[in-house]
Amino acid sequence: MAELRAHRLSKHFAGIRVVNDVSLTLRPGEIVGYLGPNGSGKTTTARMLAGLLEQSGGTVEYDGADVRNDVLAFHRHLGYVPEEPFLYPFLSGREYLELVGRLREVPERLLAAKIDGFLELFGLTNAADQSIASYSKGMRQKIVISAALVHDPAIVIFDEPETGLDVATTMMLRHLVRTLAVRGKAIMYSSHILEVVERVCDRVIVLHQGTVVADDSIDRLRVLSASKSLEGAFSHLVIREDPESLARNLADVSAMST
Amino acid sequence: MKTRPTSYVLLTRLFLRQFLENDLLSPDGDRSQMLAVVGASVVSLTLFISMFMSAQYAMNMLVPAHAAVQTLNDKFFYISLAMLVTAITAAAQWDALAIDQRDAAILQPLPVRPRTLRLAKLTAVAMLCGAVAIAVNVFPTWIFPWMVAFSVPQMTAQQLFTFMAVHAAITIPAAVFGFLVVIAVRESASAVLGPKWFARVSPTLQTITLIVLGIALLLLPIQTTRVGQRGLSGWRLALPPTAFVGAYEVASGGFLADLPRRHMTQIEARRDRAFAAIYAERQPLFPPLARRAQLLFLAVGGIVALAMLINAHRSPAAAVVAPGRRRRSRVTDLANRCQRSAAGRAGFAFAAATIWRNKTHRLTLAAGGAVGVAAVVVALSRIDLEQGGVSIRLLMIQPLLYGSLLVAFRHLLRVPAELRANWAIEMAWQGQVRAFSSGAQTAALLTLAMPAILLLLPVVAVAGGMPLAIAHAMLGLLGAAIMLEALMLTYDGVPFACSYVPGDNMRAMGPIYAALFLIGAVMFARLQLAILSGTFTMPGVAALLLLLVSLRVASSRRRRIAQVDFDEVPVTVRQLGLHS
Repeated sequence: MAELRAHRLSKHFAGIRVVNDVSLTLRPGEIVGYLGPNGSGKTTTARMLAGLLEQSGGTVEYDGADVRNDVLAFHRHLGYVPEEPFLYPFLSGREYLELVGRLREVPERLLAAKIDGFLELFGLTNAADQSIASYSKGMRQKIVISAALVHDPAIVIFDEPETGLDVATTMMLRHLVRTLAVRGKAIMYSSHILEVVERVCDRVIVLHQGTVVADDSIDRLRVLSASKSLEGAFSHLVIREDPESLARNLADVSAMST
Repeated sequence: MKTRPTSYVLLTRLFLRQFLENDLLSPDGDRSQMLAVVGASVVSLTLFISMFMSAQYAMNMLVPAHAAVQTLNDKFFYISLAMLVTAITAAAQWDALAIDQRDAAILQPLPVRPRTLRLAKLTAVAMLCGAVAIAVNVFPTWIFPWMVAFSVPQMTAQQLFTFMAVHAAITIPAAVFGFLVVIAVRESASAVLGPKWFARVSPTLQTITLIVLGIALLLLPIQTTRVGQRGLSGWRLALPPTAFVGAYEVASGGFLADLPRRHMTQIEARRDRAFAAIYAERQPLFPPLARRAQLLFLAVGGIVALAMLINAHRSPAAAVVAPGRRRRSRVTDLANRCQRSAAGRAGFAFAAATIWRNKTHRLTLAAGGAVGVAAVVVALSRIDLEQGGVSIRLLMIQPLLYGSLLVAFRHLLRVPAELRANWAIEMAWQGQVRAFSSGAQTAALLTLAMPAILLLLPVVAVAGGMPLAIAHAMLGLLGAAIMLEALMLTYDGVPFACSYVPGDNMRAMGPIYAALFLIGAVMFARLQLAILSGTFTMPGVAALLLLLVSLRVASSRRRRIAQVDFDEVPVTVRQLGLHS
C-alpha cells in the first residue's frame, strides 16, 4: 500500500494565511493524530489532503504522484469523514449510501450487503428508509462514516468524527480505527479530544495558528514537554493562557449581576 | 432609556425573517437586499401591468356607459390578480405559515408561553399578508382610476377620489381573501388529518396549490377579456373575483354609468345606449354578488379561525413526527433494469429523488408544469373535441406540456440539491458524467415526460380514438427523448451536484428560446400529423429515430472538459483570477 505525503502545504483566504508550510506523511498501518485548537487549520488541511480544497502552495502526493494530476484516481483510495455531516436531507440513509456506493462503482450485490451491514452495526436499520432530515447529528455521523468506508479505502481521513456520537459508538469508533490500521489503512485522525487521540494514535501532529509545532510519537512528546500526559504536552505547545484562570474569569462573567 | 423588546416582539421579528429564508440564499446572504429585490419586483410588476392595462383609457374617449362596462373587465382582472398574487405568496411560504417542526424543536425548550409563540406567528403572517396586499394594489389604486378619468372627463375630483378609495377598499380585502384561502386549505388539512398525516401530504398539497394558482395566474389575461360584455354567467359567476366585482359596483354605486352625458355624435349616442343596456342587465346581479363576497370572506375567515383553534390545542411538539417508512419505488426498480451501469442507477435515483422531494426543485417544476398546463388549456379552449379528428393544435398540446417540464428539468440540473452536501458526490465521483447524466435523463423521461404524455392520452383518444392516441403517445415519448438529448447536449456538469452560477445571457436569450420552443412544438405537431395520417409514416418515424441517434452520437463524441468543476464560479470572477 502506498503512502500519502503532503509537502509544504499552505492555504490563504483573501490574503490571510490559514495553513502555513504543513508537511506530513500518512503511512499504511499508521494512525496519525492531528491536533490543534479551534481555528488552527485542521479542517482546512484535511480538506486539502482530501482534494476538496485547492491548496495555495505545496503539494499532496499519493504513491509518489501529485494527486492534482488525477484527483478521481486518488479519491478511489480515499475515505473522508468531514467535521460537519452535511448530507442530502431528502434522501433516506439507505438511498444516500446507495448513491455513494454506486458512484464509487461498488458491485450492486456487494453494496447491498455492505449497506445492510453498516446499518445494522450502527443500529440504523429501523431508520434506514426514513429521510435524513429526521436524523439526529449522531445518526448522520454514522451515515457519513459508513459512506467513507463503503469502498474499502486505503487512506481514511477522520475530521473530528466523534461529534454527536454516543459513548458506545465513540468507543466502537476507536476500536474501528485501530482495526482499520491493523488491516493496513493509513489513517489521519483530526480531533481536539486529547483522550481519544492519546488512546488511538501512534503519532501526533500538533498544529497551532496554521503551523506545525510538533510531529512525533506521543511518548516522545511527553518526554520533550516533561509532561505525564498528552494534555500536558499539548498545553505546553499551544495553550498560552492558564486554563484555570480563564475558567475562573468566565465563571465570574457568568455570575455578573446588576 | 431604550425599552427591551418583549418575547412577542422578538419572536414576531424572527418569524418575519423566516419568510425571507430561501434554499438558494446563502446563510450569509443579504436578506435586506433580497427583500428589496422582491418588494421592487412586485411593485414594479404591478406598476407595469397597471400602465399597460390602463393605456386603452388614455388613448380613447369613452361614453360613460361604455366606460362602466369596459372597467368591469379591469376590475375583474385587478381583483383576481390581487387574490392570486397573495395566494401564491402564501403557498410559497407554506411551511412558514404555522409553527413548524424546527420552530417547535428550537423554541419549545425556551421559557416562552405557547400562546405568545402562536400570537407572534399569527402577527408575522398577518404582516406578510398586509404587506403583499398593499404592495400588489398600491399602483393599480392610483393609476387605474386616474386613467379612467382621462377617458371620461365628466368625472369630478370627488368621484375620482371615491373611485380610488373604493378600489383600495375592495382589492385589498380581495388580496387578503386570496391569502386566507391558502391558509384555510393548509390549516383545515392539518386539523382534519392530524400532524402525522399532514406531514406526509403537506408537500403534495403545496405543490398542487401552487400549480393551480400558477395556472390561474397564467390564464388570467385570457379569461378577463370582455368579462363585462360576455356577461357574468355560468362558471364565471361562481368565481370569487366575480363576487368582489359585485361588491365593487355596489360600493361605487355604479357612478360611471350615471355620469352626465356630454354632447355625443349619433354613433356615440347609439353606443352609449347599447352599453347602458348591457350594464343595466348586469346591475341587478351586483347586490347579491356583494353579499356573496361578504359571506365568502366571513366563511373563509371562520374556517381559518376554527382550524387554527383546533391546531392550537395540539402541542407544537406534536408536529415533530418522524416521516413514515419510505418503500422502495417501482420507478427506481424499473430504472435499475433500464440502467446498466452503477453510475447510471445512481444518476437515476438521485435525479428522481431530487426533483420530487427537494422543495426548490419541486417549486420550479411546479412553475414549469403550470406554464405547460396553461398552454394546454389555451390550446384546448380553441378546439372542439366533440367534432372529432386530430389537428395540429391538438397534437401540439403534448409537446407543450412535457416540453415545459423538460425545460424546467434542464434548468434544475444546474441547481444543487443541497449545496453543502456536494462534497459527498465530489468525493465519490469517478468521472462517469455520461452514465450519471444518462440516469438523470431516464429519470426525467420516466417521471416527468411519461406522466405528462399519459395524462393527455384520454384527450387525444376522445378526439381521434384509442389507437391513434397510443401512436401519438409513442411518438411523444420519442419526441421527449430527442428533446432531452438536445437539452443535455451542452451540459458538462454533474446533475444537481455542482454549485449554481446563473446564466449570463438568459435575459436576452430567454425570449428567443421560448420562441424556438413554440416553433419546435408546432413543427413536431406537423410531423406527427403527417405520420399519424399515414402520408409520411415510415420516413417520419425513421427521421425521428435518426435524429435521436445523431444526437446521442454527437453527445458521445463531443469533447467534454477534462474534469468536472464542482465549484463553478461566474466567468467574470474566473477571468479576473479572483477564484482561489
